[in-house]
Parts: sequence; C-alpha cells; structure tokens
Amino acid sequence: MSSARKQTNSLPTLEKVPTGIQGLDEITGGGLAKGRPTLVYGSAGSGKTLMGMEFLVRGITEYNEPGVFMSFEETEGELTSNVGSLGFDLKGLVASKKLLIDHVAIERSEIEETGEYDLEGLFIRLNSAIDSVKAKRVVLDTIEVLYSGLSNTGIIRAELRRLFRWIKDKGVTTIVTGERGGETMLTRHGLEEYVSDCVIFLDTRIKEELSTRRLRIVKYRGSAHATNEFPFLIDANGVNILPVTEVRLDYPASNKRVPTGIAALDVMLGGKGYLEGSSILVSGMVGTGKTSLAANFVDAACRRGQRCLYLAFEEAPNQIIRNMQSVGIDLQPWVKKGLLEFHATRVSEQGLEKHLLSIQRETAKAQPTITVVDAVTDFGTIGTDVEVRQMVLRLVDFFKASRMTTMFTSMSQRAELEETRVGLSSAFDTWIHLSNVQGDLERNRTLVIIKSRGMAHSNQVREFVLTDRGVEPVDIYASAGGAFMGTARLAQMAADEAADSALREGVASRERQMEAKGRALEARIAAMRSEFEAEAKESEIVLAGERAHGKVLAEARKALGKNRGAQRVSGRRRGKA
Amino acid sequence: MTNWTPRCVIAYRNLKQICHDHIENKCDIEVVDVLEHPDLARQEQIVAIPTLFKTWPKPERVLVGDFSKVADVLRALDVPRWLHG
Repeated sequence: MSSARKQTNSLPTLEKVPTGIQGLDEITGGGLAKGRPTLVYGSAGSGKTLMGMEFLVRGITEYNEPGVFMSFEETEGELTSNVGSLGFDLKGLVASKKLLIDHVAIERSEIEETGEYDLEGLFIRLNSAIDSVKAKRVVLDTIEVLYSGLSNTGIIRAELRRLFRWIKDKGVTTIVTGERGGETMLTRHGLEEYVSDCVIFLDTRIKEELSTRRLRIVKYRGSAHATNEFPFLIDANGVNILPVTEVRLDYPASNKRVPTGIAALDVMLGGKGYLEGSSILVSGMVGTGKTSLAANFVDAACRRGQRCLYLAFEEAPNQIIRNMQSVGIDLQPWVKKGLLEFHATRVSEQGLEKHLLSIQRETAKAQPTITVVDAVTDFGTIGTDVEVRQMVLRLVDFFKASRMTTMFTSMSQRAELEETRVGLSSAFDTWIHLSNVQGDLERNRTLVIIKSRGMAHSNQVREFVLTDRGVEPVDIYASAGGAFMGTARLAQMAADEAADSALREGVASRERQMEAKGRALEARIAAMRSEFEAEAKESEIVLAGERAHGKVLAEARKALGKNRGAQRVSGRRRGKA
Repeated sequence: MTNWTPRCVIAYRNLKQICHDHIENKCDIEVVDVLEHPDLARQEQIVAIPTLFKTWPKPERVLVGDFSKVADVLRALDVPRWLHG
C-alpha cells in the first residue's frame, strides 16, 4: 500500500516499510523508516499499544514479516483480550510462530540494586525473540517502565542508547512507545533523545464527553512528510487515519459539467451547470430554499440514472421527502429505485472524527456520483469553529479525491458572515447564497452566485420562486430605476407599460395632427385654386367681351369710314355694309 | 551473568567474599550464563545483569548489580535474621 511520491530534496531516498494502517502510509509517504526505530508517544489510552500491535499484525498478515512484541506493561493474556475486539487473532499468530510476545515484568519492590549492572538480559531476550520467529518488525511497549522498575537512571539511559544502536544494527523496523511528557520533554523520560529519526504523537482530547484523537508527525528525518495533524479513529478494523489536502493536491480535474436541475441556474453558471467533481456550498438562513436547491440537483441526477447519497443531519429523510413533494419534487420513487440513498445521523451522537469516518464509510459503500451534506453548520454544536472547519476541509478533500460532485448546505445569515465566521468558503468551488429580501409588504426569495471557479458566471441577484417544479428563477426585469422583484416588479412593469403607451399615444396624436394640418392646407390650396380659376374665367369673359367690343368698334369705324367715302358715289353700295 | 564479562567476574568475587565474610560460606551459588540459556532470561524475567536470585530460605529475593554495596546485599539477603536462626 505504499504510494509513489516524488522526493523534493536530493537526499538519498529513505527506505520505508508499509504499515498497512489505514492512512498512515499515505501521510508518511510510504510507511515507517526501515530498520530504524520510530517513537510513538501519547497519554494513556491514546492508542499507542494498539497501533504497535496493528503494525505487527498487518506486517504478518499483509507483508509476511514476522514480529516481536515486547510488552513492559501488559501480559500476553491481557494483550490478547484487549486487541481481540479488533479482530486480531494473537493466539493464532503466536501459535504459528509469526508473532512472539514477551512480557517483561520489573517489579521495583522485588528488586534490590546492589551495585553496577547493565541491561544485557533485555538484549538477550529481545535477540532470542527476534531470532526465533525471524522477526522483521518489533514493538517495545513501553520501555519507559524501566525507569519505574529500576532506580539507576544513568544506567538505564546508557543502556537505552545502546539498545537503539543495537536495533539499527539488527535491522528491524521498530516502534517504541512512550508516555507523553510535560513542558520540557516530549516523553516522560526523554526517549526522543535516542529515537530521533521519526517521532509520532498521538493526542487524545476530551471535548464535551466526546473524545477526539489526533495523530501528528512531529519529526521524520530524511523524508518529506505532511506536517498537519490528522484525526484518527480506532474502530473494529484498527487505527484509521484520515489523510488531508496536502497529500492529495493532484486530483484529476474535469471540465465536464453536471446539470443543476434548474435550467435558468445552469445558464447562470456559464451555460451548463456545476463543474463535475467540484464542491458546492449553498448557504442561507432557514427557509430560504437550500434543501429545495439540493433536491432539484439530486432529482435531476436520478433522472439521469446516477446514484446519489443524501447525508441528513438537519431533518429526518421522511420530513425532507414530504417537504420537497410540496414544491413538486418527488424523491420517493428514486429512493424506491435505490438511486437515492438517505443517511440520517444525529450530530450529537458522536465526535467530529467519528462523523468523518462514518461519512467516508457510507460513501465508500454507496459509491454515489453526487453527495449532499445537509447541513454542515450542524456540526458547530460538537466542535469549535476551527475544528468544524478542519473537518469540513477534510471532507471536501475526501470527496474530491473520490471525484464526487458534492453539495453542502450551510445555515448562515449573510454571505459575508460565512466568510469570516468559519472561513469555509475558500474550500468550495461554487458558492450560492440564498436569502429572503424583505420588501414593504412581502418577502421575496433571491439567489446569487457569489463565486464559481472554473467558469464565467452570472453575478446578478436573481429572484426565484418555489413552484411545482421546484426552484424557478424569475426572468430578470430591469428598468431605468434598477432591477425589481416581487410586487414592486409588477408595479414597475405596469408603470413602464403605461409610460410606454403614453409615449406611443403622444406620437400618434402628433401624427394625426400633422395629417389634419396637411389636409387643411390642401383644402385651402384647392379652394384658392378654384377661386383663381373662377376669377380667370371671369376675366376671360370680360376680355372676350372687350375684344369683341373692340372688334365691333373697329368694324363700325371701318364702316363709317366706308360710308363717308361712299357718300360721294351715291348710295349704291348700301348692300355691302 | 553473561559470558564472564569483567563486571560479572567482579560480581562473582564480591558475592563469594560476602558469603565468606558474613554467612560463613553456608550458601549454594549456582552460576548461569544467560547467553547460553536465553529462554531462562524470559522465564525468570531477567533484565539486568548480573542478577542474583535468592531462592532459599524464604522470602525469595532478586538482587541486581555487582554486589559492591555490601550493606545492601546483606539487607537484601536478610542475613542477620537468617544467620542467627
């Protein structure tokens, strides 16, 4: 189970031994240092013994490396029954000579120290144990007990130094456990002095009766390692460590899109919906429609035949189904078909780490394409903001590595508050904020995409309604006064319409006016023309008359003239007049 | 003891001396080289070398060290009581 990791430094690669412990090999980049001692320390009950035992057991069952468990506290019988619940069959392993358990009992009250001595007896026992099963792995748990059994600390220190040199020479990969120390030292007796190659700290904290366990790699010389703290669990399979972002920065990126289930929202997200494998945050106060958005998403996916997992921490599944039916989204048939799986848990049931683990397990079992976590802020009741944030980061990372598109709902008052209060938003690729805007006499639902990585998206605040098709964004209505919603929208629409028609009306009437003027003008012209024509005719007549008269006069003159001339002749020409 | 290392030699000599000086050699010393019998180390829970097991008379005692601290040895072996009945 070793992972190939690029070494970023030029030091010779340290050979590592895989432990088989869930998550540990990942965060150590391959396992523990081969042939060298690793110090695992922590307070009582932190899981040191278990981890050591699991290291040996898996070494035998998975890597065929026999082991020796040298126990300074528990007897073989006690160990067997303690780890029995983990399904580790110590009896069988011992019987098959793959595992040897040597219980070293040092009872101070029984021993008298009478001078100088060394701890060669220990060496002899360890050596013989290793040789008898040909062990490659060793656990010393917990060697600090020597300090309680014997009083000569100088001798003990010297012998421990010698022991760890001996172990390296022998070439066995060893886990040495130690008890957590105080202010000045990591361990109670400063074991870190001799075991300094690799140091791991197991931290157990009790918070409100829920214990949370954390593992930290304090030191790992010669190896690049992840420096964070990792929550871990001890369950029926042993130790489970949940790896973190740092180790998984190379998720396969996808360009494919996943429909949101709401056509207009797809458009707002650059045309096609959410980015596949991305993490989506839907925030908003109670009753703003977060669950409806999630239901639309899931409904659309199931329609495409894809499996969905709905993790409900807020409401019971039946409640959710009923509520969604009232907005026209019927999830029941998908549940029946097995495409949609609900998994409801009460948040107060267990600690953050246990939740993390059980979510992982449910997801691994269900193998969905889409997962919904509703609601992430519910975890705030069992952890501080910082703890919840860490847990959510790990969850997001886990889903991303599994290439799942996930939607998280979050109860929050304002988008800005979300950012500062828990700082969750940076972990998400897409962030949609829903709110109810209070107007004069009504509330309107709004939706805004605050961010969406990897795509151009709308930044408008859109009004939406819950119809019998779920969430439906209403078309944007923009006017000179801005964008409007609700009845204000309708009012503005009406006003605009009225203004428009008034405008149109004005134009028409002007046109009519002009037309009338034109016609009037035409009429006048016509009238004038006819007047003129009449006048012209009149004058024509007068002229004709005058001309005629003139002609008559001329004729008369002529005749008169002729008459005067003819008077000389005598009136013979009368007929010619 | 292991393989007669210098310390083991010293321890043996010291022990013999004590037996001679304080209990009139009324003792039985069995020397075991643990290197030759490693199983014994596990069986008898031997960690320090040299280790002395006082098996008789009761109470049984475990002494570790080279027996250079005579008073401690005597006390551990319960010598006064033992010697004088």
